Amino acid sequence: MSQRKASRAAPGFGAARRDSYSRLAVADGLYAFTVVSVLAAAAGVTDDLGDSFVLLAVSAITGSITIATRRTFVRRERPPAARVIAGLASTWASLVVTGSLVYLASGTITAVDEALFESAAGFSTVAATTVDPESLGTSMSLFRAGTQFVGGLVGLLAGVVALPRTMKGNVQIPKGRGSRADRLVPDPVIGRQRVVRLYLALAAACGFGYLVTGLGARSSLIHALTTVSTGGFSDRADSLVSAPGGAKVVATVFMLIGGMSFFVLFWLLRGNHRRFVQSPELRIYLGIIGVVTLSLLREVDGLSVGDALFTAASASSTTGLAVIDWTGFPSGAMALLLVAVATGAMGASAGSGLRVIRAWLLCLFAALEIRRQLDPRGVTLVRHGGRTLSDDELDALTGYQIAHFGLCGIGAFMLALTGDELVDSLWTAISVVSTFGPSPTMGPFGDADQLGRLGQLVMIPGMLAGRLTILPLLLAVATLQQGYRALFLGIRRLARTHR
Amino acid sequence: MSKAHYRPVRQYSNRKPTGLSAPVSRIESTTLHVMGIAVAAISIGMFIGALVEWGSTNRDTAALLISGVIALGVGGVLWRVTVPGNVRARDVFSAVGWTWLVVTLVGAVPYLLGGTFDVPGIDRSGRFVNAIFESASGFSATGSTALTDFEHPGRGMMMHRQITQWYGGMGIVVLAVAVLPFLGVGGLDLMSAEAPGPSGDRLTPRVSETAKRLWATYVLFTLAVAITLVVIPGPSLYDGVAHGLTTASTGGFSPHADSIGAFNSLAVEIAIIVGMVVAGTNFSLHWRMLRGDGGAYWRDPELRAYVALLVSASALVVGLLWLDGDFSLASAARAGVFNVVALGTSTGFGSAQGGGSPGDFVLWVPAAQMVILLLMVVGASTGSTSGGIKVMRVQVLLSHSIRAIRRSQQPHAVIPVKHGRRAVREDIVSRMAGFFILYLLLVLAGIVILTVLGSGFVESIGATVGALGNMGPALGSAGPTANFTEAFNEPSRLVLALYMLIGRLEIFPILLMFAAPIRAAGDRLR
Repeated sequence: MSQRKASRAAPGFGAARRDSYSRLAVADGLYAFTVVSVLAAAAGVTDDLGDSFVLLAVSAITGSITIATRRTFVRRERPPAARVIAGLASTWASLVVTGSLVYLASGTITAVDEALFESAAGFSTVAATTVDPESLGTSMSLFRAGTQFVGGLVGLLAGVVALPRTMKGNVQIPKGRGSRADRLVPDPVIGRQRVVRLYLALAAACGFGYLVTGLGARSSLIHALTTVSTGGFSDRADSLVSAPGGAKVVATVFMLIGGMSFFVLFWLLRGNHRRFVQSPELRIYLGIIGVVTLSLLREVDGLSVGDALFTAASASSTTGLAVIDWTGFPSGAMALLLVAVATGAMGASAGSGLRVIRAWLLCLFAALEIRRQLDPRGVTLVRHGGRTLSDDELDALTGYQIAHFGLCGIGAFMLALTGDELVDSLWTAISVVSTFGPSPTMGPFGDADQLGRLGQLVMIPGMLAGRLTILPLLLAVATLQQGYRALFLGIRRLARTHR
Repeated sequence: MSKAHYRPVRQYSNRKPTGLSAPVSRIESTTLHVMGIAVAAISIGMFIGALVEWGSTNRDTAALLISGVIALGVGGVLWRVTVPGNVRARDVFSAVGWTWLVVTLVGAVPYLLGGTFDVPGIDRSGRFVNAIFESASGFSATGSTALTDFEHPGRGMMMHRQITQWYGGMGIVVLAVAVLPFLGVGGLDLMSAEAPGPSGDRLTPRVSETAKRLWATYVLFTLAVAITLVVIPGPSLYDGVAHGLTTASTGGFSPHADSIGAFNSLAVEIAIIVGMVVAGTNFSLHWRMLRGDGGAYWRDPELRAYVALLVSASALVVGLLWLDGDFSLASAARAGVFNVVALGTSTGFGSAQGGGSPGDFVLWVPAAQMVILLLMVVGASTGSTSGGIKVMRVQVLLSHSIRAIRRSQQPHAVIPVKHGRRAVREDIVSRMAGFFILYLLLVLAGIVILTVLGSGFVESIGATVGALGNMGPALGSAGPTANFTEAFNEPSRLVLALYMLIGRLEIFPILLMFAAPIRAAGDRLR
């Protein structure tokens, strides 16, 4: 039932169906989780029956919760921003907790904190892991890749459909142009359908490409799920180092696509080639990858063009797959890679990071400041993509990004507290907040054991902020603060009553 | 000087001037005129250096005297053959930017003539680069050094080095404005372009009076620090004056390789700590205090935040060092507080007695180094002699960030950005955000350039942040007990010298110094 129909139908159900955006968002997330779990269980039933049973059992529970929630609650047509953010945070948190339960119940991971980290890395599309991927059976490998696929989808739906409708200052969303059919999100329901279909189609194409180039059926499926979602998990301990050359080409192409805005991909599919080619953000995104590739070739002796392009695409799209140990590169190459990781992918894509469009607009904003100095009384504006950015948009842009930088700084400090070296702490914090994963500390294949348990726990909030913007994290902090305040007030009232 | 030589011209005005006109023989150029005065002014430091040299080691006397004569000659000629013209925005940046660049070049002449960097292993280009680097580090009050042998230059040369920082602390252009009352309204813009912080604080209606008062406060404060150091057992008169000059300017140069660590005296360290904290405070507040308004300190929200930042950072670093187990609480407190204040005020003095001692902060636990790095970015108060982004900007930007987040939940709420109890104007908030973004972009560009030029990652981060924030020591192999000749190659040192000037002038004058010449060339072509 479409959202509009649901909201109209709601009064007919009387008081039985209450309004709750958050619960339905959680139900949607759990629905995706159930589908992935069932498919993973089915695929691995001949390989490891125990894992499949655990997955089926958990999916039965999550499926039941989904059905019950959808029967009990109804979604308002346009919820306020705070509810949307709360919904996203709840969805991510419930997915992470459920995912960690699967790891613990199956015995894949025995420590709670490690299970939470693995699950959070999965649903945040961070290529950092606490397990040896080659020791996992088919069902658990698929489930692990599936968590990244679901995480990428949640991030996409949040960035393309949910947040732009409710929040001011979403500079990453191009203004609607042309007919209703030419827009990716003419309304939430159609937008969601289009995003899901495009995402599935990309995964299918990527998987087919891997299969054709000789990666093997299981590995193809796993890598397809983690490439399109820009996740970076692999079923091999050395990522794609030992993969066939053709598979590396496929991975490069789909990492590039994974880092592209779904708006520009939609224009391409609709045959609007001109708008696709003229997208300034796309040009900058490809330009960054080109510059990083050339710089890597200049800085690193003996590096092939393919490996340089792969590494640059992996960094820029924040995927985290690797074909070479880049952590030993000269410091110039490492600095460029860090810039690429921090800048990240295009807005409204499965990738994360600061986002190309925001980085570009921040540069334009800095240029505006220089112009203002020369002409203090002149009217100076920031223009992008044929339109002038409003003060609200610039306010939100700079305000959020300052918070984003602050978060990276806090993350780095927390890691440094655990004993990580200064540069490594900065690298790891930026890498995790950008949902890339690997760093000089964790190595090119994202070995999170190198972080230590405290370091792993510290990085989980950074993953949430990286995947779903900093807002859900801040909301969680504010909720906690309110909770503590309520608790404190309650205790004080109780004490007074007692007296 | 006759008043008839100058044209009274309105700021930001292209109207033909009325009244007195300049004689045809004089060139109308604010840039060259201000530059002339500034270059002539720095010759005084060279002559003082020559005097000290003559009375002590007498090795570099001739070099300092010749340099002084050159500076006075060049400056005097520029001063006499030019008259100030229009003071539009681009002229302000041109005047300040070019003046600082030329002053840096002229300030390097004594090092070249005296052979300060004529040491084995450094070729001619290396000596030239080192001289420029040392001069830029001096005038920008940074404190990074390319000196490998502190015993080689004479005492007078070292005094010249200290005096360059003293000039740079308050600002050469502020000095020029103090003696140039005819610059009128444009003087405020010149001062603001050079002064550290978001806005020039006007103490009196007359700009030249404001400049004079700031310099008077600065001189008094320098004397106070120097006298305190001389009174304390340990430092000689020479040491007291030398360190007084670079404490008041938050420069951080010392004639000793071990910096303040050479005295190994707690009393000296405490005196320097107090001096650095005072130097990192807005000088307008000091002036108000001297006028009897002591409450101005407490009323200033920036000062409260600045002190709170230093206290909390000191407590955190001391705690981290102590918990690490390598230091006793006393040595952790001594090394921790000194280095936090030295870097939090962008002075950059060191308290280490050679590598491996408690004051060598590159050997501290990573979390303590992270605190140091944060302080290097933030800096101290606006209107002080320190570098960095400045505490006030950080306060406003935090408030701006919180507002953006609150607005995401309440899109229609009207939430002002506040500094203390005052709402900050939206255009100022926007400018501060622009400055911050530009600062970050420069840091990023600096790190990439230095690493591509072959420097290590941690050294590049520390040196870029340190140069842009005018700190002095960096991280890794460019720490407080090291020198930049060994840590960075020649191109990297030149880049860092440029970054020091960019940081000292808060970005725009150096970035925009070509705007006026380009416009003038364009006008001529048309």
